[in-house]
Amino acid sequence: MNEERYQILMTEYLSGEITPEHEAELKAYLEQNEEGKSELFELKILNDQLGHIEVPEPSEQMSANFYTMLEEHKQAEQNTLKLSTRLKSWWDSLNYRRLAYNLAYGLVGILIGGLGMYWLQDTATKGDKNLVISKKNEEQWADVKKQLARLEAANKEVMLTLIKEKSASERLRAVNLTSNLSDVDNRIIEALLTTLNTDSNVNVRLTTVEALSQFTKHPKVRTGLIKAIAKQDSPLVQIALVDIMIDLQEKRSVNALKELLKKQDLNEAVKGKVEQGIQVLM
Amino acid sequence: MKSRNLKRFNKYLQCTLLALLLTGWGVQAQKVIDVPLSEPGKRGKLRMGITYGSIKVIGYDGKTVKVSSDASTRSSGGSSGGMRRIPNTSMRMTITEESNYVKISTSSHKRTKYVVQVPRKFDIKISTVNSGTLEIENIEGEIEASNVNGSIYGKNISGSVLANTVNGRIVLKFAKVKSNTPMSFRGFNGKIDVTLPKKTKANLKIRSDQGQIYSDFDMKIEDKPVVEEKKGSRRRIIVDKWVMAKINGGGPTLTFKNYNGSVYIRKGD
Repeated sequence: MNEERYQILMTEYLSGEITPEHEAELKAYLEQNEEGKSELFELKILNDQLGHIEVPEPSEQMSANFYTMLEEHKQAEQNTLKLSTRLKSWWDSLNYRRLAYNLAYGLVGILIGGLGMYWLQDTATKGDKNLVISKKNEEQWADVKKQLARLEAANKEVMLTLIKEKSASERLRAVNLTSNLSDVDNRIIEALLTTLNTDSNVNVRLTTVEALSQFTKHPKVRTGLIKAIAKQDSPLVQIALVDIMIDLQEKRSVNALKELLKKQDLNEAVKGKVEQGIQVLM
Repeated sequence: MKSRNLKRFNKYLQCTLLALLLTGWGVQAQKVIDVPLSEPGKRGKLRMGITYGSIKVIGYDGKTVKVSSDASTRSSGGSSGGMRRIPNTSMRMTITEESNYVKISTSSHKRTKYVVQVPRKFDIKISTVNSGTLEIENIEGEIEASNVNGSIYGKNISGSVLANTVNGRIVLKFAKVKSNTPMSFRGFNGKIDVTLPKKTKANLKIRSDQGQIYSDFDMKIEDKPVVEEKKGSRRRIIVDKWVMAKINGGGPTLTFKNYNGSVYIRKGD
């Protein structure tokens, strides 16, 4: 099989649009080629991660707002007060769009980068056949890394903006965004912990518990989760926190759990879970 | 000029309505309180949280919010010694309205059923804790429903829902879902049963610790790579407990999480 053919089959496979005949052909080729196999695996992971990234689009309401604004602008130009507030919201929505574009831009970067990486590996296996090309690839690879970093940064900004939204589903969207982050910085951890302890919606708080559980290598996240046990009144959130403590084998949480057991009107389901947790962790 | 006036008008319209329902001897407790909106015809929001009893929110083709309650639904059992039960429906309820945001609170500890009629285009945030169900019908908007010892039912919903309960079911039927908006359904002991329009584009994230998952949607289930962590000679293999699937090519994330109950995701019209 020549390189070009192989590339086409890979792309088809990754996009999930491969025909059974082509898949058999690709499999046969990979059978004899270990490197190709791991490469495909890596690309598959990358591809799957790309699939997870939600690109926020301006909501219907937003464009509706824009058009009403435009209409009103035509009709009532003398009305400066209203116009300025309208303009502000229009500007906000523009910013929002720009973040969406940033994300989309980053995505394109990754796609190019993915191909670049593949190309790089390809030539590397062929030895130093063509130095110029491999150098070019190195540059491309550096570019990919830059794009990835940019994408993550954009993702974080979107998240930090959305998490302050009034609408619960927008806040949920913000927390969902963190599942695409490879790592989090202090600002994100702070934002997530604040949401965990103060958000008025239980679904948002539960999603936050799950989001934080990805980043427990940060000591701040761990202590934040332990501290949250005493602050939660929702049985579902209490249960989710106990589950995480068991998962993490976090013995420092035992005191907090014992305190929780003393709470009056503690939900029966929670009580059982907490007792189980203490037993496992002691 | 018009809008400046409107703004000032709004300020005065931050009216607070205090409704004191005191129904006396033998009078049926079916008084309806009519709450006018300061911006009739525009989208509004209802927020109501109680500790005992049920809330039913129904969207209708009107421009005001109508609140009624019925505390006389339970009979008092057999120990009345031949005496007749006199409906004791006194309770206190506070309703406030400010730029279409209607808040209802009550100090009642009775198992009351509240019925709130709102214009269809309304965002709803309701919660209860004990002895009650939450019901939502004919609403176009963002819905937040939180229960503890009871179920959540929704019919003819257009919009998005975030729902959670511990000891109860979550049964929701969507007429339409808001595009590109994440949703979340979380239970513990009851089933989660959600009917989505058949064309819904979504990434489903599903997990039930003890229950099953059922669906008649064509799902593209994603096989996730198993994560391996090496720590010295110790190897830790993590298999994710979530099922990830795409319907109709994928879209916003819809999360279904249950512990002891099953999850049903049905294909609607």
